[in-house]
Amino acid sequence: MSTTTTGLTRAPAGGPGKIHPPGSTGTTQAPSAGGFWQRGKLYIVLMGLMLPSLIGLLLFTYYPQYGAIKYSFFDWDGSESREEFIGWKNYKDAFTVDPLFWQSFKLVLILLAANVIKMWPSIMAAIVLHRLKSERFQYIYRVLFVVPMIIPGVVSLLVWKSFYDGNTGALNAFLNATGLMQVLDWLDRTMAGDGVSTGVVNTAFAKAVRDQFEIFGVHGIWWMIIIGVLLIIARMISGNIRKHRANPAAPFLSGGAAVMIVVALGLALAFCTWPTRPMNVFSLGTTPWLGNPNLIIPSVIFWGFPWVGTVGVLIYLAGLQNISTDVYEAAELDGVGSIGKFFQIELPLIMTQVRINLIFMTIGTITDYGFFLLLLGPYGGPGSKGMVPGLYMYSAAFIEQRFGYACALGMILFVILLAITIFYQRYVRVDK
Amino acid sequence: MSIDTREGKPSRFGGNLIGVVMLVVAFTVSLIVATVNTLRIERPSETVIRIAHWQLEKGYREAMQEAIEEYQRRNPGVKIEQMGVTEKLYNQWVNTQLISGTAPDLCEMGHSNMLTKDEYTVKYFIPLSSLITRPNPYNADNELKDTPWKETLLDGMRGGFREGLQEYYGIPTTLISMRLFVNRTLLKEATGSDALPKTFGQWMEQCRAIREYAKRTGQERTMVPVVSCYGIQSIQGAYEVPFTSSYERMLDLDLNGEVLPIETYIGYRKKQVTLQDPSMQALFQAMKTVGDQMQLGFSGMDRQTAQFTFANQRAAFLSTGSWDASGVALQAETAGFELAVIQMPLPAMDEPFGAYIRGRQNEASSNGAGVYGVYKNSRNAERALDFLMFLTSREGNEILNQRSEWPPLTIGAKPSKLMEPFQPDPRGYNARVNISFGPRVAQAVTAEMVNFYQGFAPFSEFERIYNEVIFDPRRGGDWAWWNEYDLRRRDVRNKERVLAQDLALELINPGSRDAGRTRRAVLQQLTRYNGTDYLWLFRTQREADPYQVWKDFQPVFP
Repeated sequence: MSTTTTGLTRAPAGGPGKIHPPGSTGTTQAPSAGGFWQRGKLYIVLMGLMLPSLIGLLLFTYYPQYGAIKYSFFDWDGSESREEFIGWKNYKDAFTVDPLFWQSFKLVLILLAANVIKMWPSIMAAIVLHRLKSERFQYIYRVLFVVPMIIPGVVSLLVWKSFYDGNTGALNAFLNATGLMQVLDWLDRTMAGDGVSTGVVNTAFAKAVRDQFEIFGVHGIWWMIIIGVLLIIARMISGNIRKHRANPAAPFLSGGAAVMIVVALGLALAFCTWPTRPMNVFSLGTTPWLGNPNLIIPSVIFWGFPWVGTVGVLIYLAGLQNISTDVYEAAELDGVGSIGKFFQIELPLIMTQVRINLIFMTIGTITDYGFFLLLLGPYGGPGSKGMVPGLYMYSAAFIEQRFGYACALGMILFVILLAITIFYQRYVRVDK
Repeated sequence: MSIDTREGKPSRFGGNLIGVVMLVVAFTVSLIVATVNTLRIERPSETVIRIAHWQLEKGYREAMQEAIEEYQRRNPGVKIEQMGVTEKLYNQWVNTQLISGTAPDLCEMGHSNMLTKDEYTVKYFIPLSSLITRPNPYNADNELKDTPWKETLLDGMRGGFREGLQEYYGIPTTLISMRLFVNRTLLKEATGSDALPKTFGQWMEQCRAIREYAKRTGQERTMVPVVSCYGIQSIQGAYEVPFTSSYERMLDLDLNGEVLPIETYIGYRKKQVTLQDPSMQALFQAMKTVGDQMQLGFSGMDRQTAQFTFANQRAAFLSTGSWDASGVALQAETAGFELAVIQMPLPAMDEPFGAYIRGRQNEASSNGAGVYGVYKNSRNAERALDFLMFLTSREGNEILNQRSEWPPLTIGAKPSKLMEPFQPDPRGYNARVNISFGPRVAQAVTAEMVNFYQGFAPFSEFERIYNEVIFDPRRGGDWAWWNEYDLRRRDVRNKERVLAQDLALELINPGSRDAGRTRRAVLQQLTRYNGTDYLWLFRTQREADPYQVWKDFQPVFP
């Protein structure tokens, strides 16, 4: 069935949504001179309709970006009085004389790793929702997931901040009530020592891991992570090359990567991240989660628990709802259980959505600064432990008044993000 | 046009039509509102003045409204509209208005580069120097009637003076000061007496008593002696002058009565001042003692939480500024406790740290705040200025500041009872050692010092990081020095603009030039031209340039 409108014909078999010029049926016809003219007119009209959006896009999206690129080559303090072309100096400074910028990436790497883990609860929640038999309850839950979206981000930020308050926060109240605070206190004394015992992180082995495990000036744990990541990349590339054939190297590459990363993270968690001096902040029961430099990163990671993001859940749910019931019925006939369905049907079929969320999450993690600015101030809190590249860029612009340099940092971030996005698009596989 | 797929016919009342109707209605309503507002502003029978500010604290808008109503009563046909914009949005909002030529007639100066940087100020605001030397007509019924307007304010209108432009571009309307708020009821419950602490030692003793009281009453986890709206930095600010003003004689190279951060840096390089000096150590240790009486990890506490804690009687002392006073007073009234306001108590001679105290900080030299500038494109600039005259007259200033519970700025204007302790204390010294020279050093001081004050790191750790950063050739003191010098060089252009403006005025209207201003600008050009003052400091105070940060320097003398 075709539906006729004034001037446009929606073709039945020419592919859904294809629009043909008036007079055309969508089937193969030799274009006449009049048809060409009419088509040309239509295209002009369509282009004309697109023009406002296009102008808006160019003016409000691309022009500021052009400004950022331009000013990254300038010594510019945001005013007209200081605007001098200095070539690549800003970029050179970022790479050669600014250790803080690159140090801020350490925190981003930690947050990226944590955020990959924090994506799972949303996937699980979407699957549970999808599998709900009652359509009514499914609807109610969907609404419940949408409701938090209307709460401004600042409000939830302040609510979470109040959770972390040392004296009146809900987190300390919960830890005190459940006795977990004593466990943390015990852990603090056991790991860092309490004057009587040396503490796990102060043993000779831990010191050796921490201080003497360096190769070419780079700590061994970072080498292990780098090798692990390289193995993953090798696995992905080889998988891509050998798409239609068995890949004998795959298990070794995957296994090697897993061992390297797990051991590195284990060693780092056990001996490098824990402070060597006891924090002594748990015994009173008023732990300052955002005031102690050693607790800032764990607090930021724990933020938003149980990490069921509403937008993420809805995106996954949309993907899950596209899965045909035939697939489930076939799986049931084959005797596939709940866990099997998750790994063999649902997860592979929502990988497009996972990839989208992965890209958004990565962009958000690398560029975000507002959260850290509101939470910890422009210097990233005590000891600058919460300094991320976005915040560093912000402070370069608005605290140091080095707008040109901040633009250069922004461009570097942009290139990094572009590379990661291309990598995701190319190697996070979507098997349909 | 939408398609009704059930009927196969176009639907007249489809979603698109509704959308178009909504768009047209919204556009029409906006057009009507904009037209009415424009007509109202342009109405010849009524002069409309718009005044914009970001002071949304309790009482300020009401006080401003009261002043406006009084002014309108005296000046029929004048309507003043108050526009309170939230602090976080003021920057973007005012920038847009200034660029589009629709800014309010009076703008509070601050928060935006366009309101603080000289090059924009020149472009968007009216210079006021020639207008403020006349007496304020609204003071006609008091002894200030013959006094030049600028001399009628406690700060001599310094709050509106732009040194770089040698010109007044704003009129301050109020004063601000930091104080210590005390919950006397809680103090009495905890210590048995509601006597306010007169010395630092007494204050710390009371803090310890409050800790004991919290322990006794099972509030150990929720009650702390001291909270601060602006961290420990604001408390330290009150003690820096008393502990370090004696360095002035040694460090003040330009003899202007202040120790600039660059002068501290020069002294630090020459070891005239070190972080281990007894008086510096006394300051740091005194602040550590205060830090011990605050919430564990207090750097995580923001302004609202600090006020909330104090209002809920879970802290006996609150450090904040005069702008929060009326809000805190209302909270105290609601919660039913007696409130007192005092200056930060100094250590007595016979107390620990007392030997290092030179005297109190002189507050008389502080500049006025709540500064309003007159927009250049204002249709009613004279009337707007007239309103500012009223606002800074003795009567107008009393209305504004008594109702808002802010300290008045006009000489002789009576403060509200609550504001009496906030009046500037003219006794004491000015100079202080400021170890934050340059943005990166400031970052290190802010982020690392607080670790020491919170008890999470020893002082040696802060000292190590500080020395690492201040002597870092790429971002430390030398870099900041070069940067300041470079700024001075570029500032020459602004000065030349001021001088050129003066010369042009003189050509157009002989005798109109402000000779004093021209003299000052020429002097500044001579002493600072191409950063000569910083260059002089560098040549006389710095032994060499090991990092060659100045290698690009090509001196060009006038």
